[in-house]
Formats: sequence, structure tokens, C-alpha cells
Amino acid sequence: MALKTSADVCGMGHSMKRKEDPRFLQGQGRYVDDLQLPGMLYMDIVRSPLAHARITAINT
Amino acid sequence: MIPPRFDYEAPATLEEAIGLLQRHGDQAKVLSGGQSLLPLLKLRLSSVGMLVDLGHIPGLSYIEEEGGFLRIGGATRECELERSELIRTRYPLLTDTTLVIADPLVRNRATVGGNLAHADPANDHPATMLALGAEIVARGPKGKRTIPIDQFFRGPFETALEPDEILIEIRIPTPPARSGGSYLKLERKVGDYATVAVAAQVMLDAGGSIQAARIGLTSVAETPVRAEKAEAFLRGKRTAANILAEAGRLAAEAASPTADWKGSVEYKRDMVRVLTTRALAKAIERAGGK
Amino acid sequence: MATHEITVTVNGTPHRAEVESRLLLVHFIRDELRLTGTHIGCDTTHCGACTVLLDGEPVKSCTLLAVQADGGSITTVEGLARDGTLHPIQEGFWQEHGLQCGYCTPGMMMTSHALLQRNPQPSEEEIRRAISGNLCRCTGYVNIVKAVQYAAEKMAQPVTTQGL
Repeated sequence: MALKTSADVCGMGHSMKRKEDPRFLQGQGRYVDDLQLPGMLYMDIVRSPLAHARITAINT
Repeated sequence: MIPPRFDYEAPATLEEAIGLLQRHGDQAKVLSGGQSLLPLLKLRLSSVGMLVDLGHIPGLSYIEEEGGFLRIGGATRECELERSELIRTRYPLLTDTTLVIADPLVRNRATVGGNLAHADPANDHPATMLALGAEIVARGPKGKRTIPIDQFFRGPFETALEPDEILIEIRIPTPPARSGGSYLKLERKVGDYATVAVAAQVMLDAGGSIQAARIGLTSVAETPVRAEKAEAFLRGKRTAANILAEAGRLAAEAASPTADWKGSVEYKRDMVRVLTTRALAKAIERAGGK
Repeated sequence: MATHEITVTVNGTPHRAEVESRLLLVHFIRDELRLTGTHIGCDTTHCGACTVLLDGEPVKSCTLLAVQADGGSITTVEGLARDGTLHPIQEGFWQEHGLQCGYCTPGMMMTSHALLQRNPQPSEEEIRRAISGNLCRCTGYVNIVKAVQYAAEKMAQPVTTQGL
């Protein structure tokens, strides 16, 4: 049975290259950690080494 | 993810490095490959005042045979061990071992000396060095000294190195003819620490019986362990399957693993049994035996 | 000294910077140089999303200090393409659908690039072994292997017959 679609028309039955890949392949993805917004703050979580204790100091 | 603050020096000579270790005492730590130390610092399981990087000191990385010994420089990277034709053909136990340490990327930075000096009970080289009867050469303010491998590992993350000493060389007596070795590591996936692992090195006599055997066990105690009862049992025996099976059973008794997410005590002990039997068989095959 | 002046060549361009001793190389690349193609995917040196080439060897940049790279030469994913032309490795990943979310991809490509430099005709086993330090949660690795094989074949062809 001959396919009625081609790679250019509809594309069904044909392997299609993804449109978003060139960005990702060149390191131009915009993942959340890549974003830089004005006035942005960074959070790092400092965990207590003890399950139940009085906090006397927090060192970073 | 971010290490605590520390000072850092990259001295140009071993003498300067030792001087820094002396000056900063227990605040100083040696940075070799960093593939164990940096993860600890990033998780803040460790902190250091002064990091002394050996990376710019020449002459600490080499693989050569001399005077009946294989000499490996302490800063030799695992990938160099992996690529060494000399090691692959004459010390295949070492090739077996390096190939299962972490992954290829980590091996591009990790060093043999670091693996030994860090002395994580789950590190791979310690058991192998036990099986090879290696010696550790350390350099400190008082000069060089040689530490037999059986005296090197003192506890988890603790070795016989003084705080102001640097591991500069590993010396392995070249095994005689009719010798062979094998390292088998049980891990769930590439990059894991061993659930258990076994290093076996055997020497056969002219008749094909076992003249001597050394068996090192990884991840089954606070330090690497020699399966001495299994070793003694094997001496003078023929290489029959039931002999190897008994050696496996004796090696399992030498293991005192703790239960964790990788397995129960019973499971780990039994895996020592299985891996010992298999490692011995492979070592014997490599020694030219049956 | 808690800060150091370092000089690092990145994708052919020398950079001089004053950095804290504790600054990880991956943070230097991403935050100081704003080359965000190199990714952070874990806390434990497992995933390899941070893989870059240091003096030609693929390394996990999250487990290196920036100061350790002083005097060295680094290649990141941004350094693969030349004048807008994709490197055969990048082409391979595109053609063979070697990526889905794309997070592991820069690391995979840097490792593959180094592999092909050292071993231009790797077997499937050799490819799988070489990328065993790079984890992918999307693809199941099959198309990644195909992408590397595509690149190996492409790079084996004489330059004049390579694609437009």
C-alpha cells in the first residue's frame, strides 16, 4: 500500500526531526535553573544535624 | 551542593605540601583526585580548613616495573591504570579492579593513592592491594617510610598515614610465574559502591596445585579483610570445584557485613561465598591452571 | 587564601576571574561565564549532566573546583558547533532522536565526543561503557547509542562528502 503522506506533507509514517532539538543540542535550553530574573534570590537549605535540639547558631 | 569555606593551596613540590600539612595539622587535607573528598564536602559531611592540592606536583604519577616490584605513583589516575597494557597483561587483578571503580568520568580524575588513603570500607583498591601483598610508601617531614598493606588500614576512613604524611607510591611484588588474580564486584548498577567484592590472587605450583592464595574482601567490615582461613585451607590443595566451594564458605565466615539497603547480613555473606569461589576459579584460569 | 585568581580557557576563549576556593567548576561555568548548557542533575556525582572536557578528557565538573582548572582548557556543549554548523555528534542526536527532555544531552555529547576522539569506531559495548557515567531518565539509551554510531560514521567520511 503506497503511503499518501510524505515527509513534507502531514509527516505520518515518516521519521520527523524535532523542532526543539537544535536549542537543546547547542546548550540553549531554558531550564528553570538557567533563568536569571532581576532581583532574583537563591535559596539553599541548611538542615539541622540533630532531630531535636535548640538552635544556637547557623553557619553557612 | 556548595562546600563550606576552606583555604586552598596548590604547592609545586612535595616538600611544600608536607610543610602545609605540618603547619595546618588536623585542619589540612590532601586533595588528590577529589572524587571522594569533594562529594563529602558538597554534602557537608566533612569540612576542612586547608585543602592541599597535589595536582601541580610533578613525578607522582607513573606505572613501572623495577627491581621485582610494580611501582604505581600515588597520583596515578584510574584511567591510566585502565589503559596500561603492562597492567592488563601482567597484573590483571588491578585492571579488573579499576574497571569497576565508579564510572569512566570519575576514573578520569580519581587516583589510586586517593582510593587507598581515603580508606572507605567500600573502596575497591584496598582489598586488591591486600590480595597482592602490596606496600605503601609514604613521605613525611621525617622522610620516606614503607608500610606493609596488612598494617595500612586501621578503621573506616582511617589509615596508618600520619596527618603530615602523603601517600606517594604503591609497590606490588611482581607475582611469580603461574600466578593469576581476579576481582569480582557485586553492584546493582555501574557507579555503585560494592554490595560485596572479592579480590583473589593465587600462585600454582608445578603440578597445578595451589601453592599460595591471598583473598581480600571489600565492604564486609570496617576495613578490607583478608579471608585468612580460606587462604590457609587452599594451601597445597588441588584446584577442584569442591575445594573452591569450601574456600568460598570459609571466606564468607571471615566477612562481618552490616545490613543495609543493599542487602541483609545473610545475603552479603552468601555473596562473598559465591564471588570468592568464582574469583578463585578465574584467578586459577589466569594462572594457567584448570 | 580563600579566593584565587584563575585563568581558564573555555571553548577557545581565555577567561580570568577571582573565585572562592570552594567554587565548583560547574558553578563557575554556569554562573560566572553564563554558559548554562552544562547542567546540574544531582548532588552525588552520579548523573554526569555536568560533563565537560578538561584538557580533552571528559570529567564531571560538579566534582572539580574551579581552582583545579586554573591553566587548563575546557570545552562545553556551547563549543561543539562551529559557526552555526552542528557538530556530527549534535547532528546524530538530532537525527536519531537521542534526546527527549534534553537535560542529560550536553553531558552525553561531551562524553561521546571524547570517546570518538580516542576510539573513532567504537563497538556498541564500548559506547555503552563510555557513557555509563551519564544517566538518562527519558530515552532508555538506545537512541543515544544510535546517535553516537551515526556520528562515528559521519566523522569517518572524508570531509567533502559530509552533509550540507
